Formats: sequence, structure tokens, C-alpha cells
Amino acid sequence: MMAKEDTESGLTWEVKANSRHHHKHKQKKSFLCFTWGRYSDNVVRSYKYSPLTFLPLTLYEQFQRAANVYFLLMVVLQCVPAISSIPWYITVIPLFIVLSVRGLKDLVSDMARRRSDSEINSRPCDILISQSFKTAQWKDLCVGDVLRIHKDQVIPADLLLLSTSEPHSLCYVETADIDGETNLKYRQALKATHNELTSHPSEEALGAFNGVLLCEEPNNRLYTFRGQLHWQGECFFLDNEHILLRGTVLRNTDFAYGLTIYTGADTKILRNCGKLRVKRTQLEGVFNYVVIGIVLSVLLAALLLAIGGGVFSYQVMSKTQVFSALVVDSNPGYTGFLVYWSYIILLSPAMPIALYITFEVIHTIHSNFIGWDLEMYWQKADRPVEVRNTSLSEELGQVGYLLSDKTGTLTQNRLLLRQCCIAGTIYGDASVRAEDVKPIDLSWNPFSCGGLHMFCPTLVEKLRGQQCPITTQFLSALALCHTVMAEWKEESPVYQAASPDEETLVGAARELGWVFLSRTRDFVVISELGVSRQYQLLALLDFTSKRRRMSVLVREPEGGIKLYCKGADIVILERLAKNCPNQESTEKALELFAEACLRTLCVAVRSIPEALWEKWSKTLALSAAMATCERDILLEKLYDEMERDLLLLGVTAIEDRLQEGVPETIALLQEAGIKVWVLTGDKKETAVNIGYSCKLLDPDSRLLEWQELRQILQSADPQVSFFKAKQTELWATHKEMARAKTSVVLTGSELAEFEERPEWGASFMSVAEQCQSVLCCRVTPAQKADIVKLVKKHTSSITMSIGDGANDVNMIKTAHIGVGLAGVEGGQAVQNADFAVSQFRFLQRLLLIHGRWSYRRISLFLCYFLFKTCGFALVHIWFGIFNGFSAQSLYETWFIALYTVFYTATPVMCMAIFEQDVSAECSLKYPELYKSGQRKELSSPRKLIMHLLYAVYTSLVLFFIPCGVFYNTAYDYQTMAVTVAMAATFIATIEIVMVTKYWTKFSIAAVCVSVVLFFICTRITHSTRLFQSSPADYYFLGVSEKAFIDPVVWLTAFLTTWTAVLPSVTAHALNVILTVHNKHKIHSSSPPPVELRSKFSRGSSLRRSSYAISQGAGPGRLIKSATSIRNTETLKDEKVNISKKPSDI
Amino acid sequence: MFINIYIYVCVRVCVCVYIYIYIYIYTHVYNQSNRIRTMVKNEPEKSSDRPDNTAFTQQRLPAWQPILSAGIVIPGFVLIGLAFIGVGVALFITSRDIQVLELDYTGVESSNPCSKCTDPNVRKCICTIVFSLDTLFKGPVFMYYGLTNYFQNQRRYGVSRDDNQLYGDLDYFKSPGSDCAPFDYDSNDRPIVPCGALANSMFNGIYANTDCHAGSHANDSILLKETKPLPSWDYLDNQSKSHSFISVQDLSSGVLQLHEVIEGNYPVVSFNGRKKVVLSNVSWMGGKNDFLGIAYLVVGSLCIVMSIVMLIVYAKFKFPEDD
Repeated sequence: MMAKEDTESGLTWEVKANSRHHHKHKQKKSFLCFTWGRYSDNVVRSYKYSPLTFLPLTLYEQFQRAANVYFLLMVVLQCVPAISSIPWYITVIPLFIVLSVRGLKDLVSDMARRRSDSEINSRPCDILISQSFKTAQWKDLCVGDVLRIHKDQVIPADLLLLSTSEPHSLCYVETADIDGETNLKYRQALKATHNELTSHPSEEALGAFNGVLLCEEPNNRLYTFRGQLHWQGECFFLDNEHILLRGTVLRNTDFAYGLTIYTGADTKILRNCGKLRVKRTQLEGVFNYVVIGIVLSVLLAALLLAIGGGVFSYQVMSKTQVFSALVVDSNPGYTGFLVYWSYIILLSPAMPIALYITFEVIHTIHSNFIGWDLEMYWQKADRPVEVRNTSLSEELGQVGYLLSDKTGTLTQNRLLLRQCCIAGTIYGDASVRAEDVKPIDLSWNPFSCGGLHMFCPTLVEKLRGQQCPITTQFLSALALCHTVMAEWKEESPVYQAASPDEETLVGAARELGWVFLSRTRDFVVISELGVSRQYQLLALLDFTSKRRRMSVLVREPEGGIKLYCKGADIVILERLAKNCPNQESTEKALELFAEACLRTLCVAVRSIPEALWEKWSKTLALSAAMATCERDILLEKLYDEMERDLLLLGVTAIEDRLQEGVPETIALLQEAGIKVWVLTGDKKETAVNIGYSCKLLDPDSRLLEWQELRQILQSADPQVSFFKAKQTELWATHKEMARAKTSVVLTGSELAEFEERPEWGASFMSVAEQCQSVLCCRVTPAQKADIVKLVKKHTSSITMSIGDGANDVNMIKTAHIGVGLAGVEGGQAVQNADFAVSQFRFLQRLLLIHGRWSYRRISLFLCYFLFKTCGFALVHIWFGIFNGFSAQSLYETWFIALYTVFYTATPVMCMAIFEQDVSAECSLKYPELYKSGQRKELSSPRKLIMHLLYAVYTSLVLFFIPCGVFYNTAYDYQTMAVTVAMAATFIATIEIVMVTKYWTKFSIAAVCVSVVLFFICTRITHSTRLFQSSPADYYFLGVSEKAFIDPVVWLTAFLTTWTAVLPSVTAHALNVILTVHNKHKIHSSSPPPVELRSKFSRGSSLRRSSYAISQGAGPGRLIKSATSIRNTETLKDEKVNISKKPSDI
Repeated sequence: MFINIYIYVCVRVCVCVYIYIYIYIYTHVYNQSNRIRTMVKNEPEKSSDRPDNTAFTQQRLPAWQPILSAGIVIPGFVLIGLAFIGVGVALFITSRDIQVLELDYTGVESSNPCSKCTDPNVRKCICTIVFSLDTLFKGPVFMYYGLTNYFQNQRRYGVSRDDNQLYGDLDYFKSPGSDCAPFDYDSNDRPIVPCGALANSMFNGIYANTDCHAGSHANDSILLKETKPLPSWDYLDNQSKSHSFISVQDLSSGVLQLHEVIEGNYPVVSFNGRKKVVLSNVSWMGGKNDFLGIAYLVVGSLCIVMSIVMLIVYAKFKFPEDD
């Protein structure tokens, strides 16, 4: 009966506590492709191969490449004697090497994955086995196990929190790896489990725990959970508050006990990881199309030639006595059919198989160069750049969109109070870097523990002298008006805050002598210059994103009632009492702080008459009994009533510390034409603020928010209406602003609308393309990936995602290139990234230098490779006209084999490794050079087709000029073969000489050696000795001996070479003539003049005042339940007042 | 055969794997040695993962970066063009001075003295061609044999031979290779030596006053033996059937009257072929070859034209800039 009900409600996942055997039995197992069982084990398996499956799997994967299949087919064809136009071993060996090198590479990377997996799987955890905790490894964990988690331990699976060592079974978790927020979250156990399981010695009680948990099937929703706990005949409802997710870290709690619900692949974080995608570069995609094009053309050419062959054998061969005997089965049709296959084999060298392997070698070397770069080496962590996916290096040179996470990527997530303005006087100087701030003498303060980055000796003097009541009140406000909690560690308070801003402010107040010591439900204890004072906490007017302020009502030890309020400047300024002193000077200070990219908060105070408080508190008590929605409206009104006629105390200015070099890097990347978007789970205010401080948004740029954007998107022509909107709005304000930049700011819920209206995607992208940048706030990991998908879908640009946390994994995987920031903690992003860098600013070098070089090298390499193989192989088509379309090879078979390996491979390899058109310094100095990669100037299909056409031209020249020379003369076919081979080698060499701009000693040696090798190898394969050893394989006996001393052969080869390279040489020469000025500029010029930007302000729009709070509502309800909880019995169980007393007051 | 494959495999594997090994050594072994070094030095702060500061790893190899300019490119084109024209002129003049006389003796035209020999039923046929030279042929004069419209480059024809047999391997005398089919065994099932279409379609005309042998020995070349007045004959090549040549080491001067007697039992009419005797003298570049000289002249002129175009482009591009 119960089970049926549960099935209907969707709660079908059943977990029996402490019945290991039961669950072990049902664990998921697999053999080959069959799996059975229900519960996953807690083992991470990111590896692909086992010893048994390696060979079939790797072969299967590799033969998904068309080129490999094609070559396998060639090998098979060549084994058929009737059609074998070149020996089979010419093809099988390259194929074999390609397969084995690739396979080895996969194997090595798979081993690395195995190692990292086993590192995770063997982390320790305490499992309750027969009433005692035994240390086991993560992989031994099983659904239904009861675990003990220590402080600062990573939680190994999704758990139901049973109890903790703290009062009310509260515990704190850090979810940085899941949502990127570093502040602590509260989790609380059910009251029932808390009462029952902490009363006895915990092992016994937990061992006897026999509850049955019913919940949803495993899913990827991080913020919701539905379930029921059936225990002792009662049913308890469970939600997200009771769950500890895998990957989170237990903080500030000595022990937590949990029941394992989901393990391994069933856990929410792993469900959120998205699928492993094999990334291929766009260039490779284009190249694959070209290869398919080549194959089709080869097939077509072979077909035409085969028809020619059939007609020839019908028309001509049958008329000649000897030839008629050679027509297979006396059937011209059948002969033609065989000729078709022979031609496919003969023309197969046009398909550059060596390219794939060379391509991979070059990619590996480029990746190593990236890893070797000393300037991207992070000394502090001893980390060079780690290239985890070696096949993406050229896409680094084409990035059009950079999608960045905020927390931990752009910012250090370290907030510092840099300046403040009290009663119109500004203290501190934000123009000095935080590290260089002179420390002030705080030795008089026993609670000081450093970390004040504000130089303000006058303020300290004033405070200590207690001359100025406003100043002391300001600091009292900082110490009182917050939701921070203090934990006592080694005789000093350690603050735990839901909002990093508050933590910073309370910390700064402590440094200055106003030390927040502890809080109980009704009292806050602070020490003012060593004097401990207890304030009665009358009410806490909590923060919401709508109110953008918070206040506390306190009764001073002396008896007076004060309201301390802090909040965004606009909100506070409109609530000030009339004729408030210092308002003007404070507003000026706000402007100043905004210009310095500091986040500001206004602090104000109000003395409340006793009568007002009594009246107000009565209304408040009444409201508590009302229905939820009505109550909220009333509370809003009540709060508003109280927060009036404020007296402005001052302004705090907090710096959200950016990572080193972030603004410079973003400015440089934007100059290079890269659009930088910020996707963050954080609030809009914080995101916008960071946008300003990291130069993503200009101070004068206009923010396009959802309402406006929506109108634009809804209009018939978004592009036009966007411009209209832009112009009207801007012309109205300032003429000079007509060209101002616009940025889009979106939030997650607004983005959700895109899912319903897919047609908006394209218009949004067209608008976004006109904008300076896009900020997306409050987005989930899945939404981050959706944004990446949106960009990928509607533009052809390369996208790059950068992030540091587990919440970025999905977007890192989705983007063309994923970069993981190897931060202090959390390897998740790095594990899934293609590149792991230690600093955001390393992107400069990664993209503008390595990416650009790599793109250039690889594009040139591809074009050249196509040219040299096609030009050399297509000759056989033209030769067909002169040999009755019989698939006769124009070259000696050894030349075909050695041409790609010995005669032409090394120079192009050197070019692809060493080529630099401009130096590293110039690449950074002229970021606009990067734009050629974004425009795909060197790798467009047009460019590749041009090279193919050029190859066709070359093959025509290669055949017809020697043919014209040798036609009707005494020279034979073999001399012509050597001449054409010689010319082909020369052409390939000259072409690479023209492409190479950077001649290292290796490049010079490679070119010389290749040409010399041609002569040596040709002489060797034509030698008598080899002919004697195997007459059938070396039948060009003595040909080159005669040819190499014949002036006509040389003159013909020279003529052919020059004619073939003439178009290319001319193009290069014209290029030199036309771009000589540009080049000159780049090679020798002064830095561009500094842009003079007018510094006009637009009033309050410049100011950025905000208040940061973590996901979900403010924690005030947990701290101060007086306002809402006292009268609501049902909720009492879960919302508990915190009553931790410091031990030594 | 397998030895060749073996060598080939080795070479190719070496080239490809070499680079991998190099990288591997660089990244792993080298780092490890660094690690050991630092361990010995007791400098734990000197980290093992720090990349090496070498010119190669930092991509700062000294290099020569030629910067081309119009001042180099345009004169370069002119020079190359002039060089080509020079060579072209030399080749053209040389080729023009070579004297050639072609004598067609196919006998398609009834006026030709050899027309009587076109009938395939005539087993023995002798015809005489009388020719005279207007100008003196400077010695040495070569006599070539010409056969047109004969597709000796056809692959099946070209491969229809047994190299081992031709090399003299006696095993293959008894059992010719399958490539030779259908010219491997005769109607009585006896092995043909030399086998294959190539060897069994030799030109077998005989010149009068000559003692002529159609080749039936190991090397599948034609051996023609001279008598008066041509002192000696050379070997010929096997593949290029259309043009065989016969060199003349010495030449009598004056008006030459050669009486050629040819036995015409090599039928060519069926494939519209022509049989010719060509008399020619040679120069340093071999026989007459107008194409090469003309091609050089054309390409050379093209270069000059290109350089003029470039000059115009350069001028157009540069002067607005100077204004």
C-alpha cells in the first residue's frame, strides 16, 4: 500500500539504513554492454579502456575517421593482383603507423585518467560497520551506509544528514565546488533524528538506526530534493536542507553523520557533469570536408578514366594484335572496371594519410610549447600550464567568444575594505595597491590580527580619542548591523558569514577596535576599544534583493533604542532625514569610490523613541499571525516605516580583489576582437560591479537590461530597433555618447525564457554581437552550458570557457575550448578542461601568442600539405591520356613512398614547429593581429580550395611540360619519370621556402637535407646492387645515373618548377609589394598613443552600491527568529536560534 | 620483397617515433634529472615542474627572418625573366641548327614504294626508299627508328614481363611469372623465354644490307647490326618503342644517298600507325627539341611582363601614400 503510494508520488528510490548487504546485492554491474542492478557503486570511472577492450575500442574509434577507412580499403584493393597499380606495402605501413601511434597516445592518456580516478576513489572515509566506524575508501561506500564526516572533509556521496556534533544538529558546508560560492551554507538534520541519535553514544544509536528512505530517482537538480523518511512508524518529509551533496566540504562542524542516498554516478554533481564529448577543431572539420571532397573527386576522376580505359580497350587495343590479347577476358567493360579500381589505388596518394599523423605530432609539439612557456609558469603553486587536450592548439588562435566564470576566475573572492567616508571625511587611499598599503599601528588592539588594507591613522586617532560621536557610531553600526556569527578559536573570534561583504566589514571594525564578540538570540556582544558592551537585539530587518538594505534595532546598554541600517546608496539616500549633514560631501565620496571601482555601502542610524518602538513592535507581533503573502506585504511596509529619517553616518568602500592582471587581460583580449562574457551564479549587483572593476564595462557604457532587451527582441527587426533604442536614448542625454558601448545584463530566470522562445536566440546573438559584453548572473551550471550552446549555435566563432569550480564543468565541456583555472582547491574544472592555467592573465599569452602562432602554423601546414600531395598525385590523371587510361604510374613506386616521408616532410614539419611571423612581444603589442584567426583568413574553405586548384595547376604543369619536351624525342618513359619526380621535389621545396618566414638552423638544414636525400635515395633505388637483390622491385636500373647528367633533364626540371611555382611566387611578390607598409609598421613603430577618454559622469549611474548575499534568502531568519518564527509552530522544528556562547566572556 | 618492407617499416617508424621520443625525453626524463639534481642540491624550493629556460622550449631560437621588399622582388623577377630568355634563345638556336630528315615507309599512300608491303599476307616484301639531302648533315648523324600511334605506355603491356627471368634466374625460365599471361606459355604449353607481351611484340623489320636480328635473348632490346655504310649500332631501350635510335659515330660528308631496303612484315596499318626512319644529327642538348627553347622564351617573357605589372601596382600603391 505504502509502496504504491510512493510510486505514484514519484518517490521510487528506496534506501534502507544500515543494510549494506541488501544494497550491495543490487549494485550495478556490467559485462560488455549489459548492465544490471539498480544502485551505482561509488567508484568514478572516467577511463575508457580495459586491457580487453582496448584493441577493439581503439580500432573502432579510429576507423570512424573516414581517412583511415579509406586507406584500409586501399590496402585491401592493393592485395588484389589484377588491379594493384602500386605494391600494397606502400599504403599499409603508413596506415599501421597512424593507427598504432594514435592508439598509444590514447592509451597513455587513459592511463593518466585511471590514475586520477584511483586517487579520488581511494580517498578515506569513515563507514559505520557493526556499530563502530572503520576507515575505508570512497570506492567501498555503498547506498544505505552511515558515514561520519570530519571537519574539512569532502563529502563522498549524497547524504541525508542524521545528526552533527553541533547543537540542533546544524552544520555548515562549503559549496564552492558546486556553485562557486565560497560562503558557508547551513544544513540541518531532522529534529527526530537529532533527538534520537545524539542522546546515546552515537555509534550504538546510529548502528540501530533502521529508517527507510524513499526519494526521487537520481537526477541533476542541485537545489531540490524530495523524499520521506519512514522511521519508528512515523513519516518525515525531507527537502534540500537535509541533504549533503557530494563534492561539498564540511566546515566549522566537528562531526556530521549521514546516511548515503546516492553514490557514484547517481550523485547530483556527477549527474550535472554532462557527457564527455570528444572535441575536434573546426579546422579539422573543414579539413575533413576537403578530404571527402578529394575522395569524391578521385572517385569521379577514376570513373572517367575507367570509362576512357574501357573505350580504349574496345576501340584501340582490340585492333592491335598484342594488345588485344591483354584485354582481360576479352571484355573491354571488365577491363574498364578493373582500371577503375587501379586508378583509385594510384590516385590514393592524393589523400594525405601522412597528414593525420603529422598533424598529431605537430599538435603535441605545440601543446608542449604551451606547457614549456616560462611566462605562463606559476611559481607560487609550481604549476606550468597543463595541456590536457593536445589537439586544440590552433583553435586558440581563433577564439571569438570568451565566456568566463566570475568567482575565483576574475576575482580572488577576497574582499577588502579599502576606503571609507565618515561624516564627509574620506579615509584611506584606493589608488595604492592593497599590498603596498602602509600598515598602521594597531598594537593597542588585542583582537587585531592584521588584514586591514586601509591607511587611516587619523581615523584611529579620532576613534581612540572618542572625539567624534559620528565616527564611533559608524563603527558600532559596522559591528552590530550584520548577520555574521562568531566562532571562538584560540582566544579570538573567527567570523562566519553568508555574505563576504559583511565578513569584511565586521573584520575591519574589529581591526579598528569595535570587535563583534558573540551573538545570542536576543543579544549582541561587542567590545568597543576593550570595553565589552551588550546590546539587546530587538529586531532584525533582513536583507532582500528588493529592499537592498538591512537594519538592526538594538537597545543600547544605556537604554536608548537605535536603528542601524546599511544598504545600497540610492536606497539609503532617499530615506535620509531632511537637512542631513554631510550628504553632499558623502555623495561626492560615493562618486570617487565608484571611479575607483569600489563597491559601496551607505551606513545610517536613527534614534527610535520608546513610544514608536512599542507601537511598531505590536504591529509586528500581529503580522506574524497572518498568512504568508499578506504578511510579507505588511512586513515590507512596517520595515519601511522604521527605516526613515535616517542620519547618514558614512560610506564603506570595498574592493573585490581581482586576480592579478585581469583588467589588462580583458582590455587586451577585447582589443583583439574577442567578446568577453561573464557567466556567474552570483548576484547581479556583484557581477556588474566586477564588470566595471575588471574593465569589462566602461564607466560610461550603458547597461541593457531585460525589459529593454525584451522589447528589442520582440520587435520585428531586433537589429534595427536595437540601434534605434541606442540612438534615441543616447541622443537624448549626450551627443558624445552616440558611440558609447552597450552591455547586456541578464539573470538566470530571464534566460529561462529563451528556452520557451528559441527564435529569440538568433536575434539575441545579433544584438549581443553589437554589444561590448554580456553579463549573465544567477545562472545554474546547466544554464552556463546553455549559453555556450547558444553562442555556438548562432555564430561560427570559436567559444572558449574558463572557470575554476565544479559549477563550470558543464560549460567547460560544452565550449570549443575549455580552460580550467587551477585554483587553490577543486580539481573538477581542471579535470574536465582542455587547458589548465594558473592565472587568468595567462590567457594573454595562451591566445595571442601560442594560439595565434599555432593557428598560423597549422593552417599553413594544412594548405601546404594538401598542395604537395595533390599536386604530386594528380599527375596520373593527365598521364592516363597517354597510356590508354591503364593506370600506369608515372613515378617509380619508391618515389611515391619516399616523397611524403623523406623528400618533403621535414621542411614542412620545421615550418609547423618554428614558424613565427611576428615575435611574441609584437603579438601582445598588436592584439589586432589576432583578428585574422577569428576571420579564418588562413583556413577558410576558400583558401583550401584555392590550394587544391593550385595543386591541379601544378599537376598539369608537372606532366605537360616534361611531356612536351620529351614527346617525339629519343627520351624514354623512365627518364621522364625521373624528371617529373625531380621537378615535383623542387616545387614542394620552393613552395615551403616561400611559406617559411622564420629560418632557424633546423629549417635550413631540413630543406637542404630533403633535396639532397632525393638525389641520394633516387640513385640508391636505381642502383645495380638493389636490382640484383630484387629485380621486380627495383626495375629503374641505372636510369638516374644517366638522367642526372643530362642537361635537357635539368633544364626541363627547372622550367617545370618555375612554371609551376610562378603563380604562387607572383602572389607572394604582390603580397610583399602591397603590404610592405603595414609590415614596416609592425616591425618598427612606436606604441599607439594613449586614448584620451573624456571623464564625464552621468550622475548616480556611475555609482555602484551593492550588498552581496548568498543564494537563497538572507540568513536573518536563522539568527533572529523574533520577527517571524516565534508564533509559527510548524516551522519551529527546523528554524533554530543560534545560541552559541563564547567560552570566555 | 619482405626485406624491402622491413627496411621501409624501420625507416618510417624511426621518423615518426623519433619526434615522440624526443618530446618524451624532454618532458619526462629531463624533468626527472632536474628533480634529482635539486634533490642533491637540497633545494626543495627549486621546483621540478618549472619548464626549462632554453631557446627551444621558449621558442626563441635564433633565426633569420628575411624581410622582402619591392626593391628585391621586382628586380628579382626581371633577372629570372632575363635568365630564362637567355637560356631559351640558346636552346632555340641550338635546336634550329639540328638537321632532321624523316622517311615514312608505312606505305599507306600508293605513291610510297613500300605500299606493296602493307598486305599482311605478303610474307616477304622488300621496298626501297631513295632520298636526298639538300644540305649537308653535320656529323655525327644518328638514325632513329620511328613508330607512331603505338601505346607502349599501356600498363598491362608494360608490366607484361618477368624481371626475374630477364635477370637470368633459371627457375623462372621453366615457369614464367603470372604477369606475363597470356604470353607465358605457347600453344604447346612450353614456357616462353622471354615471356610477356613486351618481348613478344618486338619490332622485327629488317633493313637491307643489314644483317638483322629480332631480339630473342635475355635483354629485351633490339639489336640491329650494321654493315656499310653505317659503321656501328647501339643498344636501345625497351620501354620507349615509339622512338628507338641508332647512333652513327662517323659520317661521310657531302650529299648522302642512302638506299634503304626494308622488309615490311610488322603490321601497323591496323592501328593507324606509321613506321619511319629518321636521320638526324645532335648537339649538346641531344636531338632536335623546339619545345624546350620556346617554353623557356615564353616563361621568361611572362616573368618580364609580371615584373612590369608589379612595378605599376607598386607605383599606384605607393604614390597616393606619399601624397
